[in-house]
Amino acid sequence: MAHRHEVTLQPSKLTLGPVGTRTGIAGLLVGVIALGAAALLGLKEGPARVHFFHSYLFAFSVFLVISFGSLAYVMIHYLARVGWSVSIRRLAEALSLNMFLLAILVLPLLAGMHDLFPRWFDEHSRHVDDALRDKSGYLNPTFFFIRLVAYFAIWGGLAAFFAGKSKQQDRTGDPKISTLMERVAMPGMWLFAFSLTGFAFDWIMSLNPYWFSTMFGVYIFAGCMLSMFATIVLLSLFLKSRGLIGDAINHEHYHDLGKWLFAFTFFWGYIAFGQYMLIWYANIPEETQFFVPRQFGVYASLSLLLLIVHLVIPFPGLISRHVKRRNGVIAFWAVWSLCACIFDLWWMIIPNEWINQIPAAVGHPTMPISDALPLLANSPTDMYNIGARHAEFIPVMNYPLQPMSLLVTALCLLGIGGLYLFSTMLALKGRSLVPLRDPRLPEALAFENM
Amino acid sequence: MWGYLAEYETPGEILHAAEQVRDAGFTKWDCFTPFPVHGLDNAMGIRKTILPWIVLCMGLTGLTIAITLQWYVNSPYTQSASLYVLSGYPLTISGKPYWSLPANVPVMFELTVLFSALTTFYGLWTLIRLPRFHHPVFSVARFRRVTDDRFFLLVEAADEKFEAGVSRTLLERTHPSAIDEVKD
Repeated sequence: MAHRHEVTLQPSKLTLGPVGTRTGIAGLLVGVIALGAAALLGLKEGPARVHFFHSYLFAFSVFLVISFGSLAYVMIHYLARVGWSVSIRRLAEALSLNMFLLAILVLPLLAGMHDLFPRWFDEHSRHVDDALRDKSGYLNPTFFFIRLVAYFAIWGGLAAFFAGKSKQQDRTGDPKISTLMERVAMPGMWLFAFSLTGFAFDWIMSLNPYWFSTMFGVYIFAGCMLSMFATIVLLSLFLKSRGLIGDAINHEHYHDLGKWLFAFTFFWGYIAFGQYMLIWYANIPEETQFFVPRQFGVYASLSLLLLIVHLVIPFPGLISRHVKRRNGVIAFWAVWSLCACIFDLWWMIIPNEWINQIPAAVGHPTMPISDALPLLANSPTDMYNIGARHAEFIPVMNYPLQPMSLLVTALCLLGIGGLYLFSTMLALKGRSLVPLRDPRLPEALAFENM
Repeated sequence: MWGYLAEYETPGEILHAAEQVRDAGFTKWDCFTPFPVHGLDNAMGIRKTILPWIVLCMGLTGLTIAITLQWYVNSPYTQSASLYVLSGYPLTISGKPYWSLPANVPVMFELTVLFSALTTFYGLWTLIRLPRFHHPVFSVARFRRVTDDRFFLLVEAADEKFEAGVSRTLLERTHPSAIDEVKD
């Protein structure tokens, strides 16, 4: 006899307790040790140093993007007055509070600005080049740092506001707090959209300052939402496996989170292909310079692999309802999606460490990258094979794929990941795992997919 | 007689009644509610629809048509004079090969979506046997409140298990607020 399910909250399961302390301390230890090891291995002169900072930026972006997604999700939640996901929202709030950790973790990058942005960061190289001189009103260190401070002020402010008000509602149960947050969410969403695009332009797109794509902010946003939903699925399943939360998050919620994973998997494909196709058919050197180096040698296979891992496999994999309603299966696809997002950021950021060296490799250090590419290639009509004249560039290109370099990248990822886990546990520690007195909570508890 | 129509006042009552009718083994019966009632699908023992599989097949058909169409219209001229009519219209556009997949993806996407969407829409109408302009339940005056605050359960006389007196007793045991005979 199938009855509709009734969910009652079990207050004893809604505080994190010793699980959080243990996990948090483990995360902190792993984080500090891994980051220390990465710095020890990576902070040498030459390519190792450049690789370290690119790896660090990559690992930093992976986790920043998760917090971006969480912040956007909390705001969308209020904008749309969502009912079903109230019991999930506390996890998103905790993840968005990690902005404060990330504001600290961004500081080491400031020591590597010349390694990350060799073409526009110092005055001299900016002024030998028309394109970069024209962009220098935006791409200059002063304005860059002003923007960076503004971004973290916006993200930290919004995250603290929504998480703080929601915690206050746990005590007072005042529905007016919800309406206040609905009002703030609208301008908040505007600020968020602009600052997210700004971050994507500043820290990822300007690694190759000659290239531009107006779709880039949206591209990053697709990754934000996908990696955030994957993280929330994994975090909540982890907490449930430790006997927390109870039925407040059940397979009905995982069904909807699975729909989101599916939606953003396809959204990423749509955006990524849209960006690729427009650049491909216009075939203008200053636009194709993003894709051409990523089709050299091994990177051609990696680019295809990205398409397969990020879209071709998870699309049919996530389509079925039965997949989304089984905890083990949805956990598998959440891990898969998270890995796809991580690979996507790796593919965007890491190759720049050698792309920026192409002009020097062809003997014209001040030449724009798009002009240097045909000189590196076998011939202008066969852009994807590096000719005999520049065979010595192949090891430079494959440097990030060497075991030692991959280790540094992995240590950075593990290190920032450990600290991120620590900070998440810290944020969850002081509050109930479910917003207890949110006026829409009963809706979430009774939620059922038709 | 076309069937019995039982009226209930709460979602809980109709859920309970639906479980009993389901367990009695009826197949030709239905519930009518003013809003979606959680758990009613299970209480009625409704099987999963085959619509997604039809949509999948038609989506793949659309995809195949899109690929074939674009491959054919971009195919180079044949050398054979007798097959000349079968050749396509190859055009050189910005130096791309005649047959290059990225350019074809938008059409592949659109035709897949178009075929899937139309199949979903018309497939649903076919499966639930719409449009129909009249249904015997409308002859019961009480049934008008189905769009407002009453819940109805209809057992059709065409059902194999249906026996006028017995079925009426079955419905009476579920405590409806009223039972009406539906006339043709």
